[in-house]
Amino acid sequence: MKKIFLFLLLAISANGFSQIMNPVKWTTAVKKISATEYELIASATISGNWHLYSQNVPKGGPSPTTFTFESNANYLKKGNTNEGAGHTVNDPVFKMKITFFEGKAVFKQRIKLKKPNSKFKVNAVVEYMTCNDSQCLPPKEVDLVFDIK
Amino acid sequence: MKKIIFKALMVILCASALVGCSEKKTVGNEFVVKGKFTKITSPVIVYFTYEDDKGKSHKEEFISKNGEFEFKGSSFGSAASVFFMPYVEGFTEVNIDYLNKVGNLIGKLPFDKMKNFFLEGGTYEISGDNNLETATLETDSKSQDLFKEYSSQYKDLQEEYYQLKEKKHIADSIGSTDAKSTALAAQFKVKEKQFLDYPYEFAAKHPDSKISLLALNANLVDFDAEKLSKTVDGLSKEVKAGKMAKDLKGIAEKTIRNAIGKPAILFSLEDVNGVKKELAAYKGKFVLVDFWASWCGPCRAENPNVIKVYNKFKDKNFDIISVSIDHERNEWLKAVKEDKLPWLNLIDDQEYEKSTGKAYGVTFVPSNFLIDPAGNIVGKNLIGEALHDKVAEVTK
Repeated sequence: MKKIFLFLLLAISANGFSQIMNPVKWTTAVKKISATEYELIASATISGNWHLYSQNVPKGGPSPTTFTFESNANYLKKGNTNEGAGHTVNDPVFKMKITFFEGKAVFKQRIKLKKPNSKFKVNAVVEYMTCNDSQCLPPKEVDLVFDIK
Repeated sequence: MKKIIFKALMVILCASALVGCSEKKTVGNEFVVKGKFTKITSPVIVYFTYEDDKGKSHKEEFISKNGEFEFKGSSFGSAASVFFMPYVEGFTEVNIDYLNKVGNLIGKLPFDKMKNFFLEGGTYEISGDNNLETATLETDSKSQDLFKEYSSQYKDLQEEYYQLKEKKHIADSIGSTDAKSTALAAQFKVKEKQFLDYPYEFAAKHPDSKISLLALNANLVDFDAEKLSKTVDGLSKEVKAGKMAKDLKGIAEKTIRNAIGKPAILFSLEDVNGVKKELAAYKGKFVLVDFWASWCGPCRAENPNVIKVYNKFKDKNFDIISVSIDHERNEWLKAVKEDKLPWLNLIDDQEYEKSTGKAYGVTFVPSNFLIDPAGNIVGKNLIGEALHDKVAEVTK
């Protein structure tokens, strides 16, 4: 068990030469639920003490993380994008409840295929900002690609 | 002899592309990474991480049933690694459930081993039993030995540096001033210089290697902008051609341009009423240009401290201009009101390329610049007590 954590960490740091100003790395995966239903999974690996924010931050607080899925003829979105539990705190600065993620965050979007077992790509954009205790990096957009096969 | 002639003929034919050559050559930044592991008999997920020639990081996965794999792409030059994970049907990512499932599979293969190498255009063939670390890497890329040298030297220095830093931190926190801690402080200073200078020395020694770019990119926190800029200039034409060299040069130049002692870049931005206001109008005063945003918790938390400094020094020829990098005007206006900021509040240009933040080399908020009556930068990123102290010192 311990071994896995160790080498996942290694894999991240080996590639982390420009991590200083880019504390979040995104990876995507696709899980088959049935011939017509798939789950798109976007995972964020968050380094150090940086925070990534929930999709549901009240207005007037930090900018929430948002996903935009480019629609195409092959699929329909089913429901909203789910996210993990994260940490919810009563933020003393914004005076509101704020949910954020540390270390890792997983977002999942179910989709329905128009044709069973079809193969195509879903393009998406995630916009997010990150902060630690003393600074914030401005909102940033990252392109995500999900390969349905 | 016949063989040689045949080979020579093939080379000519291949080069002139008259025949399809069995050995396909990669072009420019294109690479092929192939693997063949004889003792892998159950499926594994092969992970391959690298940065492409646009600087984007990739983490590719491939389920290999027989220990063979192949990855293709293009890279100008980046650190790359390959490692294996047990394959479990139904799992498409590494999560806690997966880790629980694979727990008993670990130990059957050396899953904690990985192959680290330097990736640029070329062919890479990795072969072995089931251990990536001891596997042989055959490649037409000439950089591998130098990459090993760089990686091990950097890792050693980094370890020694952080060990000494930790020791010094402990000594400092208990306030010891004996001979031993003085020696430790001196030792740390030497090691710190060695560690921080290593990238520049490496790059100066290897100006024609792309690994120099990795070395220079490894530390962008405590970097010496002048040294960084000069070192990038000294690299070979080919190495300088990539995006990474341009980015490094850009960071260095921005930092040099906005360093302490340099004249502050003049700007003209809209205030809360949509009226353009200019920094030039503050000539003859000490002014703190404070970059922030409504959505930035640390900025909002610091605002009460900035207000204290303002009230303490506003009668001593000192003023403040806040520049918000907000995109939503209403959120900005609300935050200005909520935090009761009594000084000039401006909003930055919405187009990043034209923005004052970019011109000042601001990569995070809060960021601030203290400017003297002549218009020169005399302080940077002053937070908490440091802001009080610096403003007190200059307005004395």
